[in-house]
Amino acid sequence: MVKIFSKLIIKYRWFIVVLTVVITAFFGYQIKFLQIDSNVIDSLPKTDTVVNLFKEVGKQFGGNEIGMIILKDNNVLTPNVLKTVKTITDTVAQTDGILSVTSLTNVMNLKVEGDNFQVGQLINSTNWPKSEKEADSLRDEILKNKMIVGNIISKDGKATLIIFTFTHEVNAQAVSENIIRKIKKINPSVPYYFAGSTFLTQYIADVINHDVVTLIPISFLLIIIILFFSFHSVRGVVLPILTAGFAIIWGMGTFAVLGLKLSMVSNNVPIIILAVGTAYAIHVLNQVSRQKESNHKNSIIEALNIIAIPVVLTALTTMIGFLSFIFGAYLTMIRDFGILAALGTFYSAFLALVFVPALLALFPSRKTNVNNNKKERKHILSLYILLPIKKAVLNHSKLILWLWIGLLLVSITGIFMIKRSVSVNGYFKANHPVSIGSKIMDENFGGMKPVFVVFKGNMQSPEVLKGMLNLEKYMKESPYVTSTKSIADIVAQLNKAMGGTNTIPDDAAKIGQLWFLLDQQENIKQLVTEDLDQGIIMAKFKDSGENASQKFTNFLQPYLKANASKNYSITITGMPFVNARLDKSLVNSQLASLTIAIFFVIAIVSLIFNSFFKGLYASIPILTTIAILYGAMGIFGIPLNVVTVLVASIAMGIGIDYSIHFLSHYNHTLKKYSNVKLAIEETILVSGKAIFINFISVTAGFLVLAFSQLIPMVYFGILIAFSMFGSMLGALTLLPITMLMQNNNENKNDKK
Amino acid sequence: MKIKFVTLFTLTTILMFNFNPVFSQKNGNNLLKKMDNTMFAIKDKTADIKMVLTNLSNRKEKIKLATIIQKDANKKIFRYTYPKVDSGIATLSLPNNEIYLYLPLFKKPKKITSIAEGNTFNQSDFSVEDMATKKYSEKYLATLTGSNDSAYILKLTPKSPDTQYSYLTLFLNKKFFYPEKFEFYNLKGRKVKESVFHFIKIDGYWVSDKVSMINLKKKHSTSIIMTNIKINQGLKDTLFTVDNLAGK
Repeated sequence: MVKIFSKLIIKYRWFIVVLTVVITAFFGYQIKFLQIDSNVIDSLPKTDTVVNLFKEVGKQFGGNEIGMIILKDNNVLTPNVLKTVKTITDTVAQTDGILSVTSLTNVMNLKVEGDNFQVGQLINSTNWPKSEKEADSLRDEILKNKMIVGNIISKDGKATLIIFTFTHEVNAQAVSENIIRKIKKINPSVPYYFAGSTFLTQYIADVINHDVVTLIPISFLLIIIILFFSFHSVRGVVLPILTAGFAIIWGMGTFAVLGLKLSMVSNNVPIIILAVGTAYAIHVLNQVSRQKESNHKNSIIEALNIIAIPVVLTALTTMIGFLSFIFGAYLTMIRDFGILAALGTFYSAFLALVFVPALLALFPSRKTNVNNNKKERKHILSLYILLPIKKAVLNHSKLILWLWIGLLLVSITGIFMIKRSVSVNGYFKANHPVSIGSKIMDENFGGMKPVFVVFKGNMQSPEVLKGMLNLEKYMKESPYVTSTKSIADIVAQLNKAMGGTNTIPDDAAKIGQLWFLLDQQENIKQLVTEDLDQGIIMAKFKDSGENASQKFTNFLQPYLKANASKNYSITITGMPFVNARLDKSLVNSQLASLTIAIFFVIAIVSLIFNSFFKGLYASIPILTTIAILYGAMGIFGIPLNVVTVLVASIAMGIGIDYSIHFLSHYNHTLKKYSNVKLAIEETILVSGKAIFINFISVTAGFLVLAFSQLIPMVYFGILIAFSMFGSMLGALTLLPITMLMQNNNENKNDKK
Repeated sequence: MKIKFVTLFTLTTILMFNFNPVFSQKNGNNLLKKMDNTMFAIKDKTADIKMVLTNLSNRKEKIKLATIIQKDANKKIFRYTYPKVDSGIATLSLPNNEIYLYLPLFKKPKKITSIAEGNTFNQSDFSVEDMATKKYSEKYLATLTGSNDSAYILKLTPKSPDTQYSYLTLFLNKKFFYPEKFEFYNLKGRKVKESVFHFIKIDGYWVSDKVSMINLKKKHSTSIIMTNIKINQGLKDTLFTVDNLAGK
């Protein structure tokens, strides 16, 4: 079967090469249409009730997304800073896609003095400060205003916000990008920062672009250098790189054709394909060069006969690692990552088995590789790494085993220390503007994550409005809520302004008359629907500490139970609650994808070796590595997040290849020598070399991610590199020791 | 020679009319004054009002009924009669943007000082700035920019810096000098609102019986339809007091 396949490749070599180039050109053109979507919200499942309610709030109340520009200075109430605030406010207001803008220079203020209530801008042409003295008195007045302090200006008057909402169905991220460009053009004289999920998303998109443009070429370069020093031939560099490069183009092109979008998770797939995909071509090349046939075409056919099945199987196990996310992922961005990486792996293996042999048939090597084995023995790698490993495994197997067991035990304790993190804020380094802005928001404005409590009922009913006001009062008793805002607050204030008290009138008709003042006011649309059948409490939520949203939900439950009414219903949503779902899903995703990956990988490896136990043995190094990986994450405080959640299954898919290669060679040599020690010795020295080179190139490819500006990507690169190191070392030490122990047991049983 | 003179005169007139800014502004301001004379000719007015508020996105309509009594341009009492919940609510507008609100269930009228020109007036798409409480020629500088079959087209530039508009385009009826349409342009120069007028002649005076304002950004419109219009009845100033607002 493989021989027929190999002969067909040789026969149609020109056709295959031309067709590959044509397909690459086609997919390359498609990449032009590939879009980036870095918004986590878009990636949330459409069936989740909390997520749906969150999206519904956005639709009903004119945007669940809020953008903010923070200005920071010693005193923001000076003529100079206020002028900057006004310029920015006007600029934002005149930007397409902006629904409303609120800042110190346009915020409406309700001032009641006797029978006169003044509705107007807080700072207007009559009280705009012209001198420092006027500014000081304005500062004294504004810092006493409870409606403004903590919402638009900080308590110390050193930070102020320009807050804006987006029109419905607009691409808020594109609008935010436009605003960043405009504000940069204004070049404000005081430090400024952007805050809010749309800006976060935009910053993440920028980082993704930056990473794609800078890190992928670096990754390519590193792998080229490693391949050159490993194979000392141009062919040994060009063919694996070409295969991986084409696989990346095909994968990304297919992604574009399928209408899928790149995300902050899938943007690293090119690096993964580059690291993983080169391996298949290396194995094919290596095998072709080992053939001693006089006719190069026969060498290719013979090589493919040996290598095709292992390449297909290792690709299959790697693909399973990636595909496990399709079934286990909560976020569509993780599912898409799995699809893209699996596609890239498939294409890499396909090209390595079809395109590479076709090219080799067209351009045969002039070199003869008769003395290959001798050269291998003299290789620096063999001398300084593989020989010492061989000696250690054969002479100190117990010590090595205990070291692994010790490491495993330490790691198991570390596993219990793993933290989870779903907050996007933590994705940036401390000196990044996003982190600085987030810190200012937390310290001065009670955080920037709104929580929405949705009331469904007649919004002009005294019972509903009183229910809202009472719930707000209760919510403020929680340490997580810093301030609340609802239509009930406004009705109570208007009641006071019209001569009553700061409460909801008992008479529905009175509320109806107060509503006269609210109708057609643009800003109430954020709090109540047009049909007056739904209203929301917008609360500022301090998402501090672990499980904040869960603790807050637990705090609310008894109150909601005790105050349930048949006249209205209450539901809660908001980013902290969506994050809580995400947080919970991380563990579920991790367990589901890892279980799927472990099950299928062991099953496939068992099929390869025709033995369940051998399948299990082959999995020992990678399973141990994964346990150590989790332990290290716990001990070093690396959190489980939407990116690091991918590491274990990927490590499983890639790392198992080392064991497969080791066991394949071991089986082959065991038949040759009928001696376990000799078989292990040769396997470590021959197969070990390919494993080590593959480990170095894969690790180098992933370690490039350590230079990413996105912290999860940094961890991702380091963790995958760490797992590759563990899998490699496990395959070269733990696996042969298991073989030795199994042999010793068998010998003892035979003696008995 | 005569033909030549006529041609030269016509050409000069056309050139001046089209290209001399001083001439077109002078002409524009004169036309605007003529419009003011038409619009502000009546001394007082009473009418029944039907206000139709339409959300243009979902075509949902709200109807409010009221009565109006007005003297000059800047003394008005709006008293709502429908819907029931608004019945009896009244506003009194006096010169210098002095507005009093009366909510019957709260008994005492309250003075509402509105500082922002962009504040909406009586729940409509009209802002305080849009309401014709002052003569247009006092608020705007007009430049004649062109004409169509029925109207002169004027560009009105606000005299005061406290404005939400960069300019207005006025379509002024050539024959009777009442406004057919206003287009409102925000500070960025983008059209944000459009109002259309309908005038009828009562007792020899042109009186607007329907005006519609469309807010293009909010996708919302307000139509004010007046019926039972009576003019120049000799309404007294004493009608326009806070006590009268509360029906005392």
